Amino acid sequence: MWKKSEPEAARPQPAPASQAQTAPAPRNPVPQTRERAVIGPTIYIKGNLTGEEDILIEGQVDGKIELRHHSVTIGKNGRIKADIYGKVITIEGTVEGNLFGEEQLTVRQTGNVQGNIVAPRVALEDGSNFRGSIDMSPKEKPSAVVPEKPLMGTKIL
Amino acid sequence: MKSRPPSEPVVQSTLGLNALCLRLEGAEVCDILELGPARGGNIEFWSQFSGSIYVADLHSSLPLPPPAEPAEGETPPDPEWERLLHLPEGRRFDVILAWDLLNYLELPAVASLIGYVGRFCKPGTLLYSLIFDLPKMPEEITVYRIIDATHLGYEYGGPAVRPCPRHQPRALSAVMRQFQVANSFRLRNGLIEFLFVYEPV
Repeated sequence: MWKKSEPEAARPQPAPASQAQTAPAPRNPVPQTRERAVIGPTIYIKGNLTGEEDILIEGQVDGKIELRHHSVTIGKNGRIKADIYGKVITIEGTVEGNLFGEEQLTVRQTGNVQGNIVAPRVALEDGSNFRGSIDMSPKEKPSAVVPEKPLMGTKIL
Repeated sequence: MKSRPPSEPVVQSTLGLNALCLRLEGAEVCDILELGPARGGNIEFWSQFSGSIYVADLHSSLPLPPPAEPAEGETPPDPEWERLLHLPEGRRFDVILAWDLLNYLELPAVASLIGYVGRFCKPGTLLYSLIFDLPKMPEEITVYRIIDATHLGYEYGGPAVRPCPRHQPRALSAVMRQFQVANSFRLRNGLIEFLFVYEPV
């Protein structure tokens, strides 16, 4: 049921030039693997899903997904009827439920979400479908707002 | 009006959006009802205000079913809206973004929609709408991208056009009795921007 996907840190990553100069690589580097569990497309889970690692869900989950300190990715094939709690949440599939991202939440182009979103940073890609509420945190006032003159009736722009 | 493919949004000036933003300045909390689809840039724009945005995406439900027949000259809310919009009971919005949706509804349907949405308004709720005043309008509803408070990107759904109902301000006022026109701006591209304010009698 559970598969381990390719560790992201194990993939070749270009090192920044400054890092290469100041921090030479150790002789026997220990790769900092960030493993990710995968729930395959044929898997159906009914109930609560918790854990201490990142997860990619391509299957179906009905219930609750709670990995507050880890990344939760709902793949393109994923079909979720659950509230999702995660550190970083990425939606590529279909979700019916509320989403609580500790750091960030992204709904990709293929994502389809019906529910409410609570996260400090929310990104909705063009083409994604979303219905529900998004809590917004205050930011700087826009500089583009220009003063309005008193207007009577219709003005031609 | 010249239609463009979705990949080429046309940027137009807007005074109505700026007027709306100015009215929101200083508001402690702002709850917004977006009747159009979710667009990341638009939500990013509204995030300058503290509060929340509820995306109802009525666009994806078009064409809408015909409203219920009004009884005795009244326009009771059509229960169909509840299914289409899923608005949370007890919520009261400060702003409603209708964009050009009203052009794609007959006046009885406008009355029905506004009657339903009015349940989620409070005195002072602002409704922003764009009304075509042209013989033709896009066949598919346009998606509007907020560039900034004074510029909108028009993302047309295709080149096809259809006859425009050309809702007149007086006719709109008649079916939107609880909303008064706060501002209106006629744009060079043939649209009129309306900013309505909810004033229940």
